[in-house]
Amino acid sequence: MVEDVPTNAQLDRTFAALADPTRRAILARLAQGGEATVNELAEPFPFSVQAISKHLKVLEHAGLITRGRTAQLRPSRLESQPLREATDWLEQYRQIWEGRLDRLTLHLDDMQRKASRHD
Amino acid sequence: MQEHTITIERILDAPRELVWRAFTEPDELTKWWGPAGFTTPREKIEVDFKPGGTFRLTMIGPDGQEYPNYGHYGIVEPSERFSFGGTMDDNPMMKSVETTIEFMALEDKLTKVIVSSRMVCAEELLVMATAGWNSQLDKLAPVLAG
Repeated sequence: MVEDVPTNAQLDRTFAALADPTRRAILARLAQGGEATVNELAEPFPFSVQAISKHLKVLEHAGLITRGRTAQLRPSRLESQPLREATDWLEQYRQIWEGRLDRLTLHLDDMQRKASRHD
Repeated sequence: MQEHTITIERILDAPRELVWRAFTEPDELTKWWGPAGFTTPREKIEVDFKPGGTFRLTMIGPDGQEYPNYGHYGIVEPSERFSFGGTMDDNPMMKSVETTIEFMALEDKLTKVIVSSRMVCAEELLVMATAGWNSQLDKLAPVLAG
């Protein structure tokens, strides 16, 4: 079923940032461990370092990564919290179904009351 | 793309035929479908209940906003099970959802309903989710070490 689940602003930012395959690849690279500089992150891609920098800005704005402030290189690292919320979002489907079955339970009582009146 | 399945079971105090009707007849669906605070008006439900048939239900949120649901039915085995699903064009992380609902008649006119929703998501989502947990644990280790 296609359902437009209402989302909050953070989830919107997370999903917007995750919409791009290059940004997902950058996050997957950072997820494998530790920090990486923009040069290291740009290596596997046929894009310029500047293009990768733009992607890093989007990820940073969404709170999916943080970047070092001290060194010139400003190494990036993954921030796990927004991603955890994104996976929890999948679990919302479970809650939607639980709520739906609660309402169904009430409705079945109604249906049975009506059926017994007709007997 | 990777799959993520959630399964929900519930035992309902009603005979199976009745539960089946509640799930498959628009006149019944309109009375309970949708999360708390949402309504699904009868005129916003169009279903062609057969294998491959399409459905369209529009829920109205507490704020008056419309939430359309649409897709197609998969298997339809009367009183036993049916499935429905659809693809999502505008969601970067979830590509499609296919939900199967099974109805099992128990003793004393009880019915067990098993809902299983198979979601196809961007595979990086699950990679990153695992990494998210690992990095969370990485942060915890030094705290515990004090």
